[in-house]
Amino acid sequence: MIWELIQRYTYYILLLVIILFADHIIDRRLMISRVLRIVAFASPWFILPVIGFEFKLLNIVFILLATLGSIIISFYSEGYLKILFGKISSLQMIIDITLLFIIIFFTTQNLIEFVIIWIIVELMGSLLVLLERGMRNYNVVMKYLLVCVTAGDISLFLLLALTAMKIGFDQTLIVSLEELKNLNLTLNPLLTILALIGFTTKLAQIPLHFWLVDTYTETSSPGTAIFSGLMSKMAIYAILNIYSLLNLDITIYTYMLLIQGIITTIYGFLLTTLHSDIKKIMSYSSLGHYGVMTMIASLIPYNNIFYTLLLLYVLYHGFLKIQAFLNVSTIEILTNTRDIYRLGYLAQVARKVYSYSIITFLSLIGIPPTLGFYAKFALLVSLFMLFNQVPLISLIIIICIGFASVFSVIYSIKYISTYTSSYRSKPIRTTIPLTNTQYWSEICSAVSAVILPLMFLFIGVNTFIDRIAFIVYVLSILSMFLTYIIYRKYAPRETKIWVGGIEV
Amino acid sequence: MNSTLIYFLLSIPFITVILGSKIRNDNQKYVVKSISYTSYLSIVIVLYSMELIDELSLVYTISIILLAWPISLYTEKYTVLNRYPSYLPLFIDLFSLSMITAYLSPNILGLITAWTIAELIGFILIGLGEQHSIEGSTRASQNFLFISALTFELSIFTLTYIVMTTLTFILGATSSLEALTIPFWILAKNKIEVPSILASLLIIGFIAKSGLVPLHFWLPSAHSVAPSPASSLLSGVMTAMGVYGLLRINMIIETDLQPLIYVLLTISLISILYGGLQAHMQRDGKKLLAYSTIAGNGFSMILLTYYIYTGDIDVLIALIVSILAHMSYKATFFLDIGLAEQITGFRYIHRLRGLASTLPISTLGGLLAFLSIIGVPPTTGFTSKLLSILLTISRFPDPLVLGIFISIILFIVFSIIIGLDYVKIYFGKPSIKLDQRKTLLEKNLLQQYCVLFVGLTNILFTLSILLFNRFTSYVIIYILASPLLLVLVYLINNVMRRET
Repeated sequence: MIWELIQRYTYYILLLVIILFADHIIDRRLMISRVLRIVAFASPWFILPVIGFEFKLLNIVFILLATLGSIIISFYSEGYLKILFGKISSLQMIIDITLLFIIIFFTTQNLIEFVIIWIIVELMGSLLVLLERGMRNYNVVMKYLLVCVTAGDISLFLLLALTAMKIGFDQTLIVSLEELKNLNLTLNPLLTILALIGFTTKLAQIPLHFWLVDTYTETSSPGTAIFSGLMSKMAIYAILNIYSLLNLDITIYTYMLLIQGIITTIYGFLLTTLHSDIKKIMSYSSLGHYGVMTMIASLIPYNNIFYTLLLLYVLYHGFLKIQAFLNVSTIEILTNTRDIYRLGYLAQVARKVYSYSIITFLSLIGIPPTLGFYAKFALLVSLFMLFNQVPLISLIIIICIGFASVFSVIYSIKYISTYTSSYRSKPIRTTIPLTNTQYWSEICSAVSAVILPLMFLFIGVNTFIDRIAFIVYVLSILSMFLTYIIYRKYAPRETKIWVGGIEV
Repeated sequence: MNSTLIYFLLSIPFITVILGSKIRNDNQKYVVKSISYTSYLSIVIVLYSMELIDELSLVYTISIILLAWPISLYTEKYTVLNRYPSYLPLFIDLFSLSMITAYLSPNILGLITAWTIAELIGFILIGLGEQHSIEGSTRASQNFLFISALTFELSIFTLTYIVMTTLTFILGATSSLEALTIPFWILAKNKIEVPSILASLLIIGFIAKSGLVPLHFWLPSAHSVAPSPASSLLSGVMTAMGVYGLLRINMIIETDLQPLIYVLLTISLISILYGGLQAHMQRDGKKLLAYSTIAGNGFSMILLTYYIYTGDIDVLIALIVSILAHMSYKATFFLDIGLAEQITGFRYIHRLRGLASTLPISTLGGLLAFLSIIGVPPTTGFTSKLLSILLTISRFPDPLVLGIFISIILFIVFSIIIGLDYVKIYFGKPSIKLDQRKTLLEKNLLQQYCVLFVGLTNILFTLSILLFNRFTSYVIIYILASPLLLVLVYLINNVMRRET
């Protein structure tokens, strides 16, 4: 046991050193730095099994999201920072170390590691907020730290305190998460609320939601991708963990998450339609999606299928939001604005980016073969199966999901209109060429939104759904491929770019 | 025999410091000062090994020596560059040495004598700052003397009166003065019963000393007006006497504590609210720190209440760690803002910017203090937060404990606000040009290292847990995780210096 611990810590320290070194040389030896970063971020898959780490379904999903997402974001931010600042070593370091700590968080085994890494990721999050605008983001950081850290502290320390009451403080510091299950910790209603509040706050559930939109919009876009794509998933991971490890008060657990989830879903999706800033739209959409995730989490006591569904949703939303926010950041760089009424010509200016962002659009709406379709489909089918058991709750949730889908279509159209609708707007300035890594990371995130459902077919949410889904999946991949070939072969090419109806 | 030896030993640092102040050469002066403080350190350890002092005194004195030593070195340059009279360093040394002696003293007589001397020197130091400062209050020193010092004397003489009248017969002491030289732990064996009127007289001085509402109004002006090294001692070390004194009193007297607990809880809660809100409103950096001292002492007092309520040794450890955490981050911040004032000429935090590139080394110390005040693992601030929340949750259904828990959460909220308010000064573009920075760096190098050293105590002080033989595995994890802090400080520094 001690030997495994030493091995794991050595591994973590090695990772930290590799990342620090890779970012130190990034301005001089770019290729070496890239290779080192890929090795470091992907290494959990090779190293952890060797040192006695057991992969479970939960870990696999989250580590998959974290490692792949980290590589994508890290490579994207490299180009982003280069365009904005020139010399990038010191700032890239902050982004990479944050990503690294998030990966480490998903591989933690001990309770105390879990607590410490969580708090450190919180602090790194505040550094991400400060990254681009410095202390001009003071109010945002204040809000973020106050709400998240205080609530997080309560929940995490509560876990420690409960364990300490059972087995003493010294033992608490070496107890592993697995052993918590054997301790049979039972929580009364008040403690259940306190144990969940830190994590629901991190998911910005109403009434503690007000920090989210400011934080997401004021952070630099790769940072927002981390916040929305990865950091919020830590809260889901924590909720799933404490649900399986402690004996929570099930009634309080269900109704607290359910009520918060319903209100947040409606609030989040409704507000997406009221804004014209695409980053704000995406932030509110994140809020809405967190609401949906909380609702799914609240249903786990009824049927275990929602556990797998939640994991699926985590993958879906993680990759979707990584790509969406990276895309927002691309738009920001290309046009210097995020207002959809001043955009609309992007499809002509940046064709390459346009073709990838269509996948985000499809995924947001939930059209096959994207992960979005699969997530929504499986969710609705499972909800209908739950209908006999708890008719009222499942009805309300189905209505909420329907509401969410409708509004998803509305804001997705708003989003894609930044590329396609251009009757009044025209480019403000000539566009800056993006770096290749930026293109590639966008391609990767787009492709993973399509490829990853395959993995879920193996895990098997439900045999009935699987068969249908598989057929749909294959058909849609085929149709997509065909469309692309037809488009390449037959679509006429314009030699001159038309912008806003005026010939350039 | 023993007492003669102790008097002889204790006079060594005082004499070295007084003689050392006559030396002209700077480097020799530093060496002599260091000798004085290290000798005091060794004396404390010797006394502890001879079982003449208890753990409480040991923890307090060692940590104060570790703070006072760099503060003393810091003062030399500070005096010259700010044109303070040349006797300031000597006074700072005597101030800290007499306070250390007060904390060290195992009996009431020593405590009274050393502390009264320290109060008088404190009065002189604040008066000195008053004459020197252009923006501070003009009545700070009077307020300090009449509110803080006088009420303290009131309480301590009440204690003297009680001990002298009751113990002379019980313990068979030959004279009433001899009763005052009985060590605290012997007094603790047969507790003195005190009527509740006298009990309220006993605690009022310590409440005033901690600067808790309603006896707080002397504190912000006194702490902001004094020269920065003195403020850092006043805020970090002197106000800690409030909790220390109450701990000692709790050891030796027996009274109906129930009303006392509610009174203490109420005033500490109000202090946290008042101090936190006022600190957030301040523009003067030193005033901000002074008000946050009120909030910090409120927090310590809440833990003390909890300790009196439960009598649990773990709570005592949490209390001591919290006091040490407050001591170290407040001392660091005061030294840091003093340095900033020295090079820019003002200390308004809405105007001070870019210290991360002007004062790179002291910024590291300030950052450690910042991490401690917002409670990032593994700092002393984190340990105090962790232990206090842990210990309150473990007794949860009790309504009083629930109140204590809510007060602790409030304090955590306010300390994050205060930390973020303060840390703004490191960000942004500095007003000083690049070529000037180099000369500045050479001028202030030692002072900056002193701030860094005081900042390091934010990590170091958690080790005081080891003395109590509890939480040993926590200390191991703590030591293993402390390199993380270096990475964090490095990264924060990167963000801060981006705009320059």
